[in-house]
Amino acid sequence: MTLADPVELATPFFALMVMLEMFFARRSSSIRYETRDMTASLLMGFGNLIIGALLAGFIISTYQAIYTVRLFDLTHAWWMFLLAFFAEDFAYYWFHRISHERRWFWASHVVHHSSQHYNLSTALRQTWTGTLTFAFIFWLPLVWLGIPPEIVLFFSGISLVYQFWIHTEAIDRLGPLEWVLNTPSHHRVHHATNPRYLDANYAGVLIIWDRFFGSFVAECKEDPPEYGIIKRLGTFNPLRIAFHEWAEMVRDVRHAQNHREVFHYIFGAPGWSPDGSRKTAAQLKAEWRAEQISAQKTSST
Amino acid sequence: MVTLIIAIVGILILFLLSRAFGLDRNVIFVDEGAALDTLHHRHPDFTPDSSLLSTDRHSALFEDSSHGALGLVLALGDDAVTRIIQKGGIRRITALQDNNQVNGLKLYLDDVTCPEVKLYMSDYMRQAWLSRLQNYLGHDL
Repeated sequence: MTLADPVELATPFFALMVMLEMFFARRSSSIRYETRDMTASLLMGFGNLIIGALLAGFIISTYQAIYTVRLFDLTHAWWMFLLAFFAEDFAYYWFHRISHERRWFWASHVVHHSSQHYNLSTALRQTWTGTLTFAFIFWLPLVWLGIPPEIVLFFSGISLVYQFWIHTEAIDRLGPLEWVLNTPSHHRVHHATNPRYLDANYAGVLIIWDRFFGSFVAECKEDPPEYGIIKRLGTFNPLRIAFHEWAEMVRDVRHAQNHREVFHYIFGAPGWSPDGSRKTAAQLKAEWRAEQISAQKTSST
Repeated sequence: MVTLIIAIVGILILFLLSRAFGLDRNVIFVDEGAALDTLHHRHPDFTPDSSLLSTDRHSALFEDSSHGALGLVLALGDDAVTRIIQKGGIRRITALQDNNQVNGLKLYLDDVTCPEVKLYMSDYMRQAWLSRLQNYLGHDL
């Protein structure tokens, strides 16, 4: 079975939509564009496209090797496409969640969060080092189950294309769709650094996984999202954007006192430090919650 | 190959359009107070006893000498970036020159994510801040 690559097909559409949003931004104060930020995002996307094409063979051959020992033959099952869609979205949820919770994967994924803007060009700010982290292992169980590799890759592409349009401040809430789908509102929360919003809304297409696994947080009008990462980047240099967290990880590992520290610096939560001098997202969120509870107690007495 | 060509052309068009729309602006801090507000938004406990606003008003430096820390505010497009710099946080300091005329200082930070900062200032301020900034130089240089 040969299927088209949805991301390749959508590339001209991406450029056109960014252009339209940029036009729209001139009339709306809620949408912000900045030349160097946008260009950096586009160059990250371009690099991702090239590196993706160069390393696709490695991923495909790994998928095919696993597929030879699949548990079931689902090729002719009519419901295989339905299963593939849900299974891919489920795998994406866990890939994405672990990409935020473990530094090894975060070092790659942080690129996507490194812009202080939230517009359609931010969607294209993609990692160059995803394959290096072996992130594709999250989709291997699908192939082992019997979903053909090309179908897995097709739905991964569909998910990426879907997630493009939700990177915008131009769209508010979408009524009942908010219950089921990942929407611009839900994804704004995901990109925010406000303590309330940290480590939330990892969904690809369906927000149901976040609701089910307790990582859902709704956007709150009183607390507008502040985008980016906790330690904001002071550069638009694509090389620094791509490798800064890897460089910091190497530096931490070089200063580690023992093997336990080495392990935590690589596979611990982003922000972990042996002396607590830095904070993880979970710690920041817990501090914020404690402050909220304390403030509520004070106001009620 | 076609996708790559479309991507390159798309990036070029978007870059030129954004320039034409004047989206390549940099934040300008009205005064030191505005820069300090930006710093306090991220680091509310930082209490400086001296400050410097770059003459181009794109960056500002604060010092809390009692705690031995510098607060840096830096325009990054239409946003700002802040850093607290402790002793050892500066790798190197050089004179900032335009047209063979020294008009400030360039700080090379020990920070992968914010490697250098330009601070334009008068000669008098440059002399005053240079001696202070020596305290924050890293041991390796």
